[in-house]
Amino acid sequence: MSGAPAQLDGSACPACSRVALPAEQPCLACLAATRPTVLGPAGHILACTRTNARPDKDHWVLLVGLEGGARVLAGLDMASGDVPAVGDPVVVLREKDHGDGPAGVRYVARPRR
Amino acid sequence: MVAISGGFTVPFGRGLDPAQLVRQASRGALDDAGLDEEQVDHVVVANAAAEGLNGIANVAVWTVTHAGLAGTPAVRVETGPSSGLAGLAVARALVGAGHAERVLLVGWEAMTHVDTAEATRVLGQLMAPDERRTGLSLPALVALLTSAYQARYQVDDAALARVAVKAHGLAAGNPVAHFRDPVTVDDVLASRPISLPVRLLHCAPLSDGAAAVVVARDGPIRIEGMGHATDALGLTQRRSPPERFAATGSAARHAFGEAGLGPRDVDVVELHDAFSVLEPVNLEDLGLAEPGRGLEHLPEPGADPLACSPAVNPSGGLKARGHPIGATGVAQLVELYDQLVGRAANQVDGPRVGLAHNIGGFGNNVHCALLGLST
Repeated sequence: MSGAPAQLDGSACPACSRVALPAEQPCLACLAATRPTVLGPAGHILACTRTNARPDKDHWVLLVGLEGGARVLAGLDMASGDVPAVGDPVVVLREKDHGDGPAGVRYVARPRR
Repeated sequence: MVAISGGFTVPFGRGLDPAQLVRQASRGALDDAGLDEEQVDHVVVANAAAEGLNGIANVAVWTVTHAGLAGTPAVRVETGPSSGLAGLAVARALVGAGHAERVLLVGWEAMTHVDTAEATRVLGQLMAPDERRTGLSLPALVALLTSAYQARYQVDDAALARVAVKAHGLAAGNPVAHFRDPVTVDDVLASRPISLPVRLLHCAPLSDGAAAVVVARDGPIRIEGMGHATDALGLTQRRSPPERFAATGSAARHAFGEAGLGPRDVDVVELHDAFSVLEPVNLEDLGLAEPGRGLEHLPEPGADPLACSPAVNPSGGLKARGHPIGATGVAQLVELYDQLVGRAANQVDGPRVGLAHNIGGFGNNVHCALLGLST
């Protein structure tokens, strides 16, 4: 009657053992923590929503598929009237730590042209 | 074979007292099955969030006390919003293994006693902590899914709005539904943005409600098969397309396999449409429609939605009947029971097989149950 739980097809981050990723790649949090000036990896938008969280801005949250198969949620502030679309290319950056360790990292996206 | 021998749903709504809800649901189901309280061997309670929403712990004992069943063995089952069908799995196992002859399954939730912000915070605990910290809520996760579905299958907002119109239209004829007023496509498209493309009228309401069924060795409705599957807690931890719930497909395949039935055998389905987009998505994941073609199952304007094959959510679904989360799966069972014995408010013509589909969390703890006429 019971089905097996879905299996993640990646492995744990070799640095923090926390985030499932394709093998031998550090998670974005560790990448950002050790190389904070590096712009994040490239990817494309898998899904997007404009939220009410920041009514003063056109604030979007994106589900980004990164090269290599990992996925992250990233914020994106657009100029008024501009709308991101599924499939658009983006880069993902570490915005700031707001907690302890890798778990405190938040990501932002920038359009990649 | 294990069966359902009676059921009852208390009308859903706002400001309802949880003690009265469980008392009325339990008494109604026992009356329907022709049983007295002392004939119940075991109680299974489906409730998702009484600790956070009502300040109630020890939920099983709280429930049997208010149901007039104190002294009866009782256990609480919690898998988020799929607690109702998870409770059926436990009740069925108790009867099937011979540990009980008659089990009362009671599902309840009282969600409107806190304000929407607090309810959203409590329900947000169903999400992965990392993702909750981004500021996302469950409706925002559904908005992500909606955007992916619309992009992949070129679905416009008006087409999606028709799902809500159909749901409200059916709920208008269902005396236990939370919403009894029809809406139009224009109403849906003009409703307040929640997390675009999801608007207020795409969302199931926060509801108070309770439902109960009696699970026994014999009864008019047999449990033909059940299936259960999970998926990773976080959206970013999954590899399936973002517009799909892989666990629904797994759970459905298990249920169909056990029952020896297939999607074409289903006459009526009560599926988990907590948001409009989930009706086509679930139809497709359940195998009842081809990928991307779930919306084609909607009736043309003016046509009878109960004449579709299968008929989808004749109760009005979560979207309009209401979604008191622990009660939802049990209310689906009561609706299917009523459909199969021919006494539903929105009666489908002569159904013989019904499918219940209940999602916990954001698509990550899914139960399916196939019910059929015993004769």
